[in-house]
Amino acid sequence: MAEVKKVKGEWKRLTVQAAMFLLQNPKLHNFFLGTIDTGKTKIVCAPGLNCYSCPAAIGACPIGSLQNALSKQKPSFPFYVLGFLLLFGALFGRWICGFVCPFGLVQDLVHKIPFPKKLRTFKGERVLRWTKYAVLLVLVIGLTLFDTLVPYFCKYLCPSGTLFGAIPLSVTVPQLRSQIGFLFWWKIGVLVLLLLISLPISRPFCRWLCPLGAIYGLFNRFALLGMTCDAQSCVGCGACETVCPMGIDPRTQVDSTECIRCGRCIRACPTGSLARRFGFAPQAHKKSTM
Amino acid sequence: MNRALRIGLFCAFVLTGAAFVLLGIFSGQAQAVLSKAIRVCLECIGIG
Repeated sequence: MAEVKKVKGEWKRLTVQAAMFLLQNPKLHNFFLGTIDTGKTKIVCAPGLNCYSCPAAIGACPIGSLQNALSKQKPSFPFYVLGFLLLFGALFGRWICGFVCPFGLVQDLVHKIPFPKKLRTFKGERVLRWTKYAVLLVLVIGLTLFDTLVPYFCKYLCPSGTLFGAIPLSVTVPQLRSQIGFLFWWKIGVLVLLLLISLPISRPFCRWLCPLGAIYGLFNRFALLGMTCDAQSCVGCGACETVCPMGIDPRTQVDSTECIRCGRCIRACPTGSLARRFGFAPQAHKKSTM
Repeated sequence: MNRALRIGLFCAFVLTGAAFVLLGIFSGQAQAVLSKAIRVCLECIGIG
């Protein structure tokens, strides 16, 4: 079980992630007011798992909106939300996970906390990777269609909603606080568990549970933003594999559904074999600073 | 995956996505998203 090693320049990506968080959640004063934004911008789906009950959010959560469309008594084909998912996926793939998603940022920050043993992966973890597709098909789509009016993923699992919505609103709104019951503590438990697992293992929610990552990952092979590996210049040192936060081998899995396009492998590569791909023309490989 | 297939899939999904968004706007789904997003989602915050 190899450890994930540090890579220089990570602060640049964290800066972009923080900026993206503020771009999607600029109404920070609402955290103190105990309200959520009701502006017209919420007609637009945010690209990451950004709960629309986060007081600071100005966009709509795509998974929440998808569940809302499917959970009606007469569900309709969710053209609008699906359209956003297709556009985001085709343009960015899982780059959104690596740079835009607020809960991805939270997991990255938690993983930076020193811990006795950091794990890249473990025996049997490959099987867990398939769980996020089950979450998508069963919790997000299946059960929501079957048992209308209940958004199963949002209600029972989503840690982003718990962290950015449930906790701040329960602190500032007495009427909500008075209604806290088992479900609230169940969601807190799920959140705490995921954050604790984030200490030794990078991005456990993204690896095993995120339905949005499951969707975007399917676009990685042909998204406008991607990555390339030049096999001829690669010397097989394995530095890229060692630093990958998703526990994959970028040399052979550069278009993997698991790659979040964070760029750590690019910065770790001593020969510049790995590079970002923007567009579909063959890329000249040179060292990247992002 | 060869380059032509990548470009073809990319274009297909972008065009389909754009068409779906427009279709959703004209069918009132955009308003439905807004209506949900501007209200506190009790299920999302572990109350409902």
